[in-house]
Amino acid sequence: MTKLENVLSPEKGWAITAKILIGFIISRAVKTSSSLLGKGEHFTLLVTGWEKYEEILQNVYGDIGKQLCHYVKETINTPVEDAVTAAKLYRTAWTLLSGPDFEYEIVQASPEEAVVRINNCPWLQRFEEFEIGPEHRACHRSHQANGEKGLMVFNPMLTFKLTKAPQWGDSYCEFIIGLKDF
Amino acid sequence: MEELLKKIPPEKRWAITAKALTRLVISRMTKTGAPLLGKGEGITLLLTGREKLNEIQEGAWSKGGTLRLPWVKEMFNISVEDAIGAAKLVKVAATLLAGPEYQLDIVDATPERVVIRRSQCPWWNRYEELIAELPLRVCEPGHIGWTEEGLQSINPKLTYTLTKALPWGDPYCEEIIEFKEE
Repeated sequence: MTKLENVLSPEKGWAITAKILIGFIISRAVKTSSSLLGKGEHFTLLVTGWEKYEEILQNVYGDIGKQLCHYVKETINTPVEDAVTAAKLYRTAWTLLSGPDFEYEIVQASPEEAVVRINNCPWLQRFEEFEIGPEHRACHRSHQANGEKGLMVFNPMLTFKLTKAPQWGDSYCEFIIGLKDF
Repeated sequence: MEELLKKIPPEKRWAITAKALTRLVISRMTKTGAPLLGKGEGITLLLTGREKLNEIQEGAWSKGGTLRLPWVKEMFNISVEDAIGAAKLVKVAATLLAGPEYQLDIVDATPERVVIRRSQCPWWNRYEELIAELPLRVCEPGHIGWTEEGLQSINPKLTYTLTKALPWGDPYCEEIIEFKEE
């Protein structure tokens, strides 16, 4: 029998698994179960209302942000004493969550503040593929929680603020990583 | 690829992303919503009941299987002319879905009949990490739907039976794929 590693390289496996699972999260959490239940769109939101739904997402994605940033901190083993280093490490953590299609660029950098633009977001792509409009997306809340809680792991003086998002009418996401009392 | 990410080997990147995303699937759908809503059970199960939840799971995963298995067959050029080819396809497709943490072994193989044992399952491992209550671990309807419908969509001569399952108290999952000429 052919060995799995002869068919599947880890690079290719990484990209495919990320794409499938993000699609699965988006389609199942938001769409599939609702259509099977015959209740229109967005099952969880329908049940919880926006406030509770956002709280759920913040909890789940904040937890994942902390875990991945812990891993990156231990693996990369670099002190994080400025905003640019934090932005680079956070990019690694977010890529580990979202796969190799994720692209982000540091568009403005100083030791106390880094402005980051997301040029390619697999989550946004899956929302668009599944035709889920901005009114049913709450990924800006998930992202804010992920950033806030994740960066605390690198250095408790770091701050995270999402400043642009498609949900607010912007064409891309942008956020600022800051260092308090620099 | 950015420099920091290169410090993490590709196999490890794949494993981390798969683990983080399978964790998101389980925690988003089953666990985290429940305590936040002040209920002791999984949100979907609580709202639908077991029968409906099984139906939702089977429906959602069957859809995934009929989409994914033919796609993987084409992409990796896997011949499915007998049970051995079908088992090889299941192994590659399952690993692409949930990552290299899967341990699927072919324990008995003839062209007519193959027995696969799953001794490590990312979904079950996430349940173990996140959900103590056995009744809340609803994975076998999805497992059966995904594999059975996926294989049938490729070749109607293939049959699929899950004979052992972790949620039934067995130490591993075991399944039989058969190829019947008539």
